[in-house]
Amino acid sequence: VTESTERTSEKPSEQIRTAQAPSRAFAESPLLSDDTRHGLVRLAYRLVWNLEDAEDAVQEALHAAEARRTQLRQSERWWRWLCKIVVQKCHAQGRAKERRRRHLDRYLVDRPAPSEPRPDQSAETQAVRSMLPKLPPRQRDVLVLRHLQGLNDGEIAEILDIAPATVRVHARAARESLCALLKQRHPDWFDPDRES
Amino acid sequence: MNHEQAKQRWHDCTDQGGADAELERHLAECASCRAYVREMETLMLVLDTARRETERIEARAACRIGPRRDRGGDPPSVRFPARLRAAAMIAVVIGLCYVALRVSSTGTAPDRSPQVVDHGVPQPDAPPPSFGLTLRGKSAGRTLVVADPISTADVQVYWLYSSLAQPGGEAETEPDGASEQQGRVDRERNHALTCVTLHNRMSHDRDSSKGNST
Repeated sequence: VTESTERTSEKPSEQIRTAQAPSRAFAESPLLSDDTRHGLVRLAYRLVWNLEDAEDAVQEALHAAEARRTQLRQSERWWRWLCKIVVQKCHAQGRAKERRRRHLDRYLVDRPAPSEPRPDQSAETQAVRSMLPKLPPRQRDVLVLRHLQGLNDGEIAEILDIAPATVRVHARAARESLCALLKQRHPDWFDPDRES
Repeated sequence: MNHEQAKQRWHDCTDQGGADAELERHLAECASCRAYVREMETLMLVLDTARRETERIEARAACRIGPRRDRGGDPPSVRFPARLRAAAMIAVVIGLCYVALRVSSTGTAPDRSPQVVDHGVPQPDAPPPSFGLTLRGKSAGRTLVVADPISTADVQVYWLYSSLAQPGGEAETEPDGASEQQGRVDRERNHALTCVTLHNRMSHDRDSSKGNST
């Protein structure tokens, strides 16, 4: 267990995968383990950047997974299957938010204040948080799964239902787009003379 | 290797790991590609900072499978079977038709409210009646008389008995003589004395001594 924890300390998803046998994880339903929930909420938070929305998305995803667990034929893929459902729920939540925003814009209702960034977050994290929504959805998903979740191309391709080569194309485009956005907002970060 | 190929090599090395000697040689010679790679490495540092800080995010206890107690939610809707709903609808329609027929035949809706008759004359050998109800329907012609209640703090006792209704309710008010004696016989024969006890003035009624007090 110690070796597994050390080996997977850089990748939390790996830790969850090795620590939880799939059959055991679902046998313990309806209360999945804390590690699983933390990992899923972390993934959802990196997609929606709001803890309450992330928890809602994870809860809906766990409900959906619980209801459809008989559809999971290859139990070794249960973690990626859960991640896929969470990503879909986050997308649905984002679409619902966009509909609400359009409604509020149309009828000039007082808009709720946008969620404030966490006070313990650095300028880099807040910049990523504010710039990610400006990326196309697919590029944003790939960037989050690749660089914030630490998944490889195969895992991302399975979660997003696309080819690994397409993942690499989206990853490059996302990196270049985010870099351009960050250069506009924080040009000093990209100053060659800046001491890191 | 041109610039585009060098950039693509750098992205491939980032995604799949490993080093590329040809890319290193190109970067040593090309300033624009070096600047591009420097910007990308800065972006990697920013993303790594964001990843480390969001590692601290943890699910709270409310995030579980099951209803969330802190947010409430709509109660589960009750859906009756289709047959039950159809039967209820048919019963309502039949009831409405029956009322409509009664109204059309009599010109007005039947009055089923009880009629209260105040006798107001005390009886010599029975608790004096305070008011009575003239019954209709199958019990038409009989009067339900309610005697003065025996009340305590906890219990109220009412004596109820019925009698053949006399025209004008005068059967209960015959004062004297042979007619009085005959009236008592009629009362004893027709009365069905009933005791109704109300506990703490609530609707906890109980028939306790039916016909044993006369």
